[in-house]
Amino acid sequence: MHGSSRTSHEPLALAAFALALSCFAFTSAPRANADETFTIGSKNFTESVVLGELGRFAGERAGVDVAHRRELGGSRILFEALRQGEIDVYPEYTGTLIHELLAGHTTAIDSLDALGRALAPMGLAVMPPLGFENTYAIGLRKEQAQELSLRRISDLRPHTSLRYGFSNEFMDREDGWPGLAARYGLRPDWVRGMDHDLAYRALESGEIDAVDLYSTDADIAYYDLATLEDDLRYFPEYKALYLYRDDLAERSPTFVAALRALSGTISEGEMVAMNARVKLERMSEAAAAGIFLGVATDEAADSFVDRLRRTTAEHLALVGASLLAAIAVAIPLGIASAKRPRLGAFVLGTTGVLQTLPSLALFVFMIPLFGIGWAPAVVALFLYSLLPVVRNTHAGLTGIDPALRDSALALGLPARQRLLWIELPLASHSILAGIKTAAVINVGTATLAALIGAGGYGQPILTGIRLDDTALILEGAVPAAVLALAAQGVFAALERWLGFEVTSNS
Amino acid sequence: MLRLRNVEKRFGDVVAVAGIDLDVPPARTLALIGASGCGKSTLLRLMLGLDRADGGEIDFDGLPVDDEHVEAIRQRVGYVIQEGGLFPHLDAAANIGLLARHMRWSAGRQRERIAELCALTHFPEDALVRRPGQLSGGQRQRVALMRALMLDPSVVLLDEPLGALDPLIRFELQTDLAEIFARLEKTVVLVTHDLGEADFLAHELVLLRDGRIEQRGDLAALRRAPASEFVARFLRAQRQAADDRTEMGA
Repeated sequence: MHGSSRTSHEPLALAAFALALSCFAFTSAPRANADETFTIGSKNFTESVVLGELGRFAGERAGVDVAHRRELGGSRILFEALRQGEIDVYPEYTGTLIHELLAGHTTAIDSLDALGRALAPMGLAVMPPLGFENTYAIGLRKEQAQELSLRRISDLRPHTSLRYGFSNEFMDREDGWPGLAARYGLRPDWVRGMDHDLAYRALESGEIDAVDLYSTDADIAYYDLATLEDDLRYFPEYKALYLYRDDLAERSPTFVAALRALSGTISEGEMVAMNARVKLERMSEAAAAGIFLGVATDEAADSFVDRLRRTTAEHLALVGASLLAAIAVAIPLGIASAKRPRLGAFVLGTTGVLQTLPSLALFVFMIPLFGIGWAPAVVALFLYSLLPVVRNTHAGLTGIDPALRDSALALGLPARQRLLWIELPLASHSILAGIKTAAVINVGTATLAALIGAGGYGQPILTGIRLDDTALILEGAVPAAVLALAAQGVFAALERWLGFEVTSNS
Repeated sequence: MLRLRNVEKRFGDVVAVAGIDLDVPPARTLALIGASGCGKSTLLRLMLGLDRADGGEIDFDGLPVDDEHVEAIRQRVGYVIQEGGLFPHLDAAANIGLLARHMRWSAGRQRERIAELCALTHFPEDALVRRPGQLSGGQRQRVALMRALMLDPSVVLLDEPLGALDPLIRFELQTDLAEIFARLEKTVVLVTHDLGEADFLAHELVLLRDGRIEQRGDLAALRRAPASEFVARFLRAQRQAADDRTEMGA
């Protein structure tokens, strides 16, 4: 009886479930398309930002809301952000994936299919390549290449007197100069490692004859260079493609289809042209991408005041939140450290070690824990601000004249009152000085937060460095310096207002 | 009132107090006297629990000076040290009223009591708003005395209260202190290295040497019958110094 009643209800329950599911599917699917914003990321160089803008336009043309988080940093940051789900897709290169990001992979990745299989366990997938390659190449002044009739890297072999200036990374990498020289049998008399940008200038002025470069660099056209063909196929392939989270295919098939439609449409010449428009003609990345797609880019460029207002708000939010949190945590920690010397040694040691971590590394460490953007930047800045405040709270409290400490004890005041009425006020100069130090360090360090997508004054600095635009660099650097001075001034005024002299009794 | 039995205190290898028995009777002024390092200040600190005794017993009106009672005992004892130990971030009135504030006295009651104390100690009321840094040395000691007397404690401990003052102010304050102690009938323990000051302010002297009591009694008794060669020498040396001072002054 019991069993039969259950079976008799089963179809009903199934029907209800199916109905609920279909309702859910019906109501939620369109909503997801209408409301959800998908995020495309880009690395900190022009071509990546242009490809980010291209992806955004492609999505928007198909009716999908796409946000572009620009210039997030290097490959590792983007890759982690993608795995964390902070972004849904970003432009990457096959060579970087295979030789850098998946370098620990056990089996050789020799095809796009193999690449897909290696990425699948991480929940990632690649789209078919966009069409162009951006590989390492060897470049020379065009007239010298013509004079010596150099077209291929093999042609370099007899000219041992040519002087080579390579970027430091290229000098060291296994897939860089050492392997190249071995493969082609090159034994030049003069090879040096140097800064990449300086190498271009040295090449232009004739101090060196050959540099390593990226094949789609706008500088190739700018400096009128000839690039030599890698005729022995020494350099790995660096085909550009979109790397995305495979759940994006379910969440927005439209967006994936729109991105996929870009596959095979961008030639090397077209990419070089887009890079040149940005780097040499000072066009916005959006405008360069828009010209390629034949869409009008309606966005008016932010005015200077708008940009300054936005970066100031972002910077203040980073500094304010991290500093307040640091004060709230560091003062009690400093008090506990002063009361318990062994705890104090541990706390001061730990915060001291945090302080010695390179700030860029600390920002990057935060990504697996907190993703990208505001939150990880605030946490990193918070950790940085701890030491000055803890150390000065500790020093202020342990430095109180023992006679005054005894006076407070002898009055019969309980510990809480002694702390609040006497010890903390006596330590307040030192604590305030610690907060001032933390604030000034914080304002400067927060400019690095732009590397993990948190904006602030670091954003114009970063973009300015990338585009070799001094005015843009100053647009971030000057307000950051002014803000640091302002913080210094505010705390100096606070100290004056506090205005008693601790040593006035003697 | 205060009772010490076989009290000992060592700092590392140094014995500061070597088994002292001492009774301080109520409403009397007792002066602990001796050369520096004889243990007189340490004895005072032990009474307040600022240092902990390594042996023996100290009690206050029958309450042992231990973790449980020390805070209550401190609230019933006034303590004045050399240089006053005033808090530089608080004005004179706030320094004086600190414990009353903790006891949640109303502002009016605090004001009233402080006015009384100003009259008693001859402190100008308009200087109450000054911070210690803006007061003279003598004024600071008067503020410290008011702070000690604020809650009308039964016992007052003074550790070289006049040690840092110049002679004229010192004399003035000695006179005031003697008058105040006589009027209030407090139990007072005073630490000083100055025999004249001890004699002037106290009913009885307790002469200490190397952490032990060498002799107890009033100055006349000490002079009449010094208990040891040390006592006789100490009295002679102090008298010599006092005579020198008088000559220099004359």
